[in-house]
Amino acid sequence: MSKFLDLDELSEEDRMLREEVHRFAEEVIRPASVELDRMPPEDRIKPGSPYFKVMKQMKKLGYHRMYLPENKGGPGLTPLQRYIIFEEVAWGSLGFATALGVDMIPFVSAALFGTPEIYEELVVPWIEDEEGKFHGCWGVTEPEHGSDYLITLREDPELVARFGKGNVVAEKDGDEWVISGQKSAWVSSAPVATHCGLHAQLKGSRSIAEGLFCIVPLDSDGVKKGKPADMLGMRDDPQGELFFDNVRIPEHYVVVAPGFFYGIFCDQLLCLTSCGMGAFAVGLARACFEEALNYARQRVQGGVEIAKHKNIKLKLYEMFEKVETARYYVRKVTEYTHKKIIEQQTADASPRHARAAQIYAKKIAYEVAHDAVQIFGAYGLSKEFIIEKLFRDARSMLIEDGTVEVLSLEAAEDVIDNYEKDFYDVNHITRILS
Amino acid sequence: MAVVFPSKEWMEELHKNVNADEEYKKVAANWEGDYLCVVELDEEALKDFQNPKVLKGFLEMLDSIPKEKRESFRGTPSEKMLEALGLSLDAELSEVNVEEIAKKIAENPDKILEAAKGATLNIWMDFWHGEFRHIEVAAPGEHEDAKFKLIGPYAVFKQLVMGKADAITLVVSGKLKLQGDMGYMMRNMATVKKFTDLMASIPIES
Repeated sequence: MSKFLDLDELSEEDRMLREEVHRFAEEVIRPASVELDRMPPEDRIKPGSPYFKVMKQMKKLGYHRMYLPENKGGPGLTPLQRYIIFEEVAWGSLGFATALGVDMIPFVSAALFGTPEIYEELVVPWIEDEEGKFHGCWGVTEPEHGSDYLITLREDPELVARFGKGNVVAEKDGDEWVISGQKSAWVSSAPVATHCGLHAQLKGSRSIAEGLFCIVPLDSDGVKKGKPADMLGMRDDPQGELFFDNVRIPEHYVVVAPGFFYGIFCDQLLCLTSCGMGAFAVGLARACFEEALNYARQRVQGGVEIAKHKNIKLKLYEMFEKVETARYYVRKVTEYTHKKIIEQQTADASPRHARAAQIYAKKIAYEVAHDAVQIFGAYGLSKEFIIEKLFRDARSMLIEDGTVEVLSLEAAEDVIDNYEKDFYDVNHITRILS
Repeated sequence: MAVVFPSKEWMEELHKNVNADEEYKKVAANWEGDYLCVVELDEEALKDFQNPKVLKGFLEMLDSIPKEKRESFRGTPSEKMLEALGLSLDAELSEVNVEEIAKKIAENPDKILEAAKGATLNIWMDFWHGEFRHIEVAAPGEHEDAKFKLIGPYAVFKQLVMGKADAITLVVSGKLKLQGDMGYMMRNMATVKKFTDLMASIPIES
């Protein structure tokens, strides 16, 4: 189902984009995602896997370039158009939407904040890639530090120091940096990635807040990948560990150096990814709602279609309400955030609003998926219907890219400290990284 | 019109362009405060100073510092660098034979570079409510209490001036060091960006 009344006044270009991406999601992404979901983890990353076929087509369509500003090789999309691509791709598959999102992180960060050398060396080939030769991933989560990374900037510095040493550390050696350690098994796309946008703690520093963000080519000497993990949901985007054994990178691969601006970068990057996750959650929630609506219109119980039963009607309305409210809030926040980070490049988006977009949309996606399974009855528990997969994906979303609880606690700090301020206050970063 | 960097003409062009820009006036309407740019002379600077035009621009900038203020150069790496070039702080630096000095640098760049270790060119700029009030070359220790201090090698400042990288990129990647009230800076990123965009728009004579 691709048609719904859009409350934004879409231009002809917006409408055509939505139709094009939806068709691709329906005809290519979704069938591949179902196939991948049922494959053993090791088979999903073998050459010839449907994963690579879809990624190659996405590269050909140029979706990976969508976050780049025009002066950095981007197609000049509006925030609404970027949102539309993410919602439609996630309607097809949360895994492929995530793969598309994390692919961008190292390269878009390098384009926005990196030097001209790294842009020419790494970003340009990635922009021009139409074969799926390059694939990025985002190395944040560590065996001993998951939620720690999310809350670090807003917590008391003494407490953050007690979080313990980072599992990945970086040390300067001449005009190179040396990276050592391990990222956890939950790094999305790691088993298939060629480059990692990596967060590493500065060796000898007090806490994981004192880190840097760099790009590590995953064919460098000393890099090893773990086995792809066998997860409950989002099985269409392989996840796995990354190991770094004295991996050397040139100095200009450090996109964000240690210090105050590393804090700004982490805070603002989470604003961008929160908008993305919000759009993914709306796409997934809409997919669940549409499956449930279709089913309820056809399934007969008590002599009538179940859509005529009052309890089902109520559920369907509530699902509709949740999808609609989430969509327009996430779109509004995306518009504001992208203006600040991508268009004006002033890096002063609002963390509390961006987090709210992600948290709210994730929560409603799970609620809608849950109600959809209930409407399907026993069929909802069977692999015969896609709703079973969508439910597992929605459940995973409550944890992926930050648990909703820790994201909420982190956003709460910003609400309590800064609610009345009409600007991005960086006192929390000054406190920990001054 | 293309100008040489570093030079007094470049400073004047920057001053003129910023004050003529209506958009800058708007975005910087609330900005209050000054900047001290500390340009560390490096290998790239010595390479550029082998071009008499660039060397002339640099020496004219130093010469714009009143003689009484030049006392603060005594014993600094900047004085040592001038001595290595056969120049005295008391000299009329705008009137020296730049061809000859440029040749001297070209003949022995390593020795001059060694003498220039730690030497800086300090530029002070003062902004107030959309107006670029003043720009001047500062003597060592002068304007140390500026609201912001931007420190980095000549090669990196050159990238900024020539528009090859923007200030935010250079600060984020750690190539330039920024000291000052970061909260104020983050609330006024649009002003900083507009100013550095205007700086990068000045054509530089190569």
